[in-house]
Amino acid sequence: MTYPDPAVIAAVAEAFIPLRVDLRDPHVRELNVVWLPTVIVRDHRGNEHYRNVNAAPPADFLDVLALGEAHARLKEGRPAAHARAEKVLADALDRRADGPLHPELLYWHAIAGYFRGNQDGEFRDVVWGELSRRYPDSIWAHRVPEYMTQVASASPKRPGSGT
Amino acid sequence: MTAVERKGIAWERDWDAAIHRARQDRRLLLIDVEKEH
Repeated sequence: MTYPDPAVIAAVAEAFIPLRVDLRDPHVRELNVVWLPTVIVRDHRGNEHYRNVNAAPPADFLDVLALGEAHARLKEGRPAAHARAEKVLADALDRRADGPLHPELLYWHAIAGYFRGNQDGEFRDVVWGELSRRYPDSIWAHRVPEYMTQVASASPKRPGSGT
Repeated sequence: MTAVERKGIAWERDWDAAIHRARQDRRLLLIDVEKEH
């Protein structure tokens, strides 16, 4: 079970207002739900930032929360929000070395770093390189712009991780 | 069992109240859609 997990409980409490609604709730119509269970990250204006369909084990659900918050922060357009997005994603990447959402975390971590101003070649090589090297068949590796795929083969420290 | 475990997630059930809290606390909404029996 995901929700009784202490780490999930703490992560939800840190950044979210948790709302549980029944499929028959009239508000659900505007969410365009097609499969249950569905978890959606939204802001109070009704903008949706991320959704996850079907249950996820706690470690994956923590990644869902990180991606949801990061997407919301990236759209805020403020340097502090971009930095927060980068940190949330870096923390998720540091939490475990792999996972089904790892390529997606790497991708958006790179985007967050780019938004925050890391547009130099070294940063590009580190973040895109890790994605291309470790997950060459991932859809996220294929979404990297082609001109950014000429990367170094080394595996240097990931920016923003603090380690 | 820690205090966090005992407390669990305090799910809001009222749509409008949740949105009000999200606006007031500048937090995101985590909406869990389920079919309750």
